[in-house]
Amino acid sequence: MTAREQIRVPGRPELAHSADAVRAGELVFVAGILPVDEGGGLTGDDVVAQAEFVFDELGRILDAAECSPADVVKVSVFLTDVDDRPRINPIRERVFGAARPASTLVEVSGLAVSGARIEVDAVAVRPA
Amino acid sequence: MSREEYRVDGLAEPISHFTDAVRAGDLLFVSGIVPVDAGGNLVGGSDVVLQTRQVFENMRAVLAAAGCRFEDVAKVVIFLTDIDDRPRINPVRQEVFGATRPASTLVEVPRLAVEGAKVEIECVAVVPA
Repeated sequence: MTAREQIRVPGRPELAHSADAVRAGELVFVAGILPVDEGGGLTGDDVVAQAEFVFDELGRILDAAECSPADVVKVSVFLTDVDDRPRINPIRERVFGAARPASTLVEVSGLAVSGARIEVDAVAVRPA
Repeated sequence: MSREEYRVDGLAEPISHFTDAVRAGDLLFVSGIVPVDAGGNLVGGSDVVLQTRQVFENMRAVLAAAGCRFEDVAKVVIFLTDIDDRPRINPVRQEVFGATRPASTLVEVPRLAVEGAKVEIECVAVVPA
């Protein structure tokens, strides 16, 4: 197994000079995911719809890296309004189920795409 | 590679769907820690120094749960609601880490998840062999 592997998932937007994820040994570093479709358009105005999209994309990226949400060890959640936290909790519960990753959630003054209200990145471990 | 979750007795219940730390192999990923007591109440009032001391006390407990100490910390990320507080919390960092110097990122954010919190710190540590 090579030590470093870049992962690009079909249908993901190319917003910057980054991959969707990079595997380093047994760890997978998932790039910050924005609620943006392949064409670069926002996937909804509502933070819940945006979060649904972002976590679905996280699942697709993890799948491409041969991981699942249960393998996530850490997530970072960036919100433009920290009061949105309770609204996205049900999505996090649905996605992670019995697994609980480590997590940091903070408010930020802006995200890379105008209108985006949430960005999520993650670190996962490849299952044995 | 192994994955193990840590929920630490005596620390406030996580406010969302997460746990205090997760170990992946020899690395321990510690959630962002806020200055709250076991009941989730803010500690230190509006004093960022007292808040930072509480954060590190909570961090000490999380690290210990996985057999780690501050000297095992590889990276910290510090979120402040006022970047000008940085010099005020530096002595606390020096006191806590002593001769150890972790890699570090420090940024200002508009708000943290706990109202009144002025500091939040996450870290990654290496679990000693």
